[in-house]
Amino acid sequence: MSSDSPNRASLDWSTASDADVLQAMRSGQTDALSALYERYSRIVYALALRLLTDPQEAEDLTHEVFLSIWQRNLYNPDRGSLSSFLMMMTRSRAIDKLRSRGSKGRFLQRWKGLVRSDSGSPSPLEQLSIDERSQRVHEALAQIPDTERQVLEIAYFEGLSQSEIADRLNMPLGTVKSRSRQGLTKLRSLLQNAL
Amino acid sequence: MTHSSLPDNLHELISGYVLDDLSAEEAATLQQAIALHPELTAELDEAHEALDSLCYGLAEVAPPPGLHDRLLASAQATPPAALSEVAPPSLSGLSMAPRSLSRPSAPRRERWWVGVGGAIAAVALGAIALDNLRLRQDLAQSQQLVAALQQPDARLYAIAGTEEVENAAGRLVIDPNRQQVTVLVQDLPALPQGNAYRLWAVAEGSAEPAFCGQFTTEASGPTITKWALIDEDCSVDGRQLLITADTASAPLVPEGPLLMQSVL
Repeated sequence: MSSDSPNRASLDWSTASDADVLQAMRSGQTDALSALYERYSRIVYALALRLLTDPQEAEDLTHEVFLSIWQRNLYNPDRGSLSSFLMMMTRSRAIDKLRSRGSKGRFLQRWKGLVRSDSGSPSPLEQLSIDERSQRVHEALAQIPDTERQVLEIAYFEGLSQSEIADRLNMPLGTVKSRSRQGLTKLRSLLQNAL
Repeated sequence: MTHSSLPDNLHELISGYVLDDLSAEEAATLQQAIALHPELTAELDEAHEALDSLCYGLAEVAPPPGLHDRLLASAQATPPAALSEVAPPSLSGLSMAPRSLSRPSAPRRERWWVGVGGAIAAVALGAIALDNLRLRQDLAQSQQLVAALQQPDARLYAIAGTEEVENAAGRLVIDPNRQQVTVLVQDLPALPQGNAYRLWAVAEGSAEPAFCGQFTTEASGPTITKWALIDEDCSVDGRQLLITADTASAPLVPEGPLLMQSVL
């Protein structure tokens, strides 16, 4: 073992910080890439599958996202967590793929603008580990009425307009609008209070 | 903060904005509130973050078992990013990734300040003070415009009045990473109640302008307004930017007179 690659000798991938794993990856250690994959591939794939709905496309996108992290130094830790970055990249590229598929123009028009950058320092939520963050979000979502959560999730993951959601759920447009707004306002409040 | 100037249903409007379901009137109300209280943009960010947190509410799904080996084989075939490679300044590095949305860049206009660093502020302030658009040097407004200009990839446009309002002039900064626009206009008359100036972006040869938001002006003096863009077409480089006067609640197609446009 050469003395200039201490990470290779000493890093416990299961407990190493994202920063340490990334640094090891930059020195060419594919073990580090494996460690990142082990840590985040399930949530990246879940999001890709939810958005693209096609397992093969979701697999290809997951591959693309992790390979991009390997090939390019795209992530800046000063601006947020690695998990957030991976989720944003997954979402952004999934939307690109949907656009190229040409079947969800409305989705793209509605949500493309929301794939955006964080402008400041990482938020308190950003600073949690992915497990902690998922736990907080699950707890918050559990406190939101199913009716509000349902319209929020349809809007977010499927990009349907309010009127399209109203048609699908057979409910008045005003109800869809108020439920989605109330749901998001509650979610925001619950997440803030949980920190 | 002067809370009395904030709409009672502010939180609902913020959620509606993030969900993209505001009526034109509601959008105008929120826009006005943000213009008066720029700190509200932090609340917009919180709401965006809350919506994006839905990603973390998904149940994790294990990828197909062969994907790990496939990834490692690809990685071994390509070199990793070098330590010396500079990461982008923000999560907006996403925009640097290959994307099917990318299009060949139109000739860049007014991007000469990119990379100038600290000189940006001085240059922009100088341009505002000295240009023949007669923009009054209002420090707060200039600072807001300069702050917008200092964002990576921000683009500055000069906008000029058409014959109907030939004295109107202004500057407009689009920050494609934050999806924000900052508009500073002068001598654009206040419109009757219920009307608004609307900003549109149109691609060369296209007959379908993208709606980029709307704003109102004060009776006199320059007015600066900042808002977040919903339609990403508005932030694409090379677009012609147009300002019309329309009913604030009208459908999102330009029907009123063209009053201002971006100039070379």
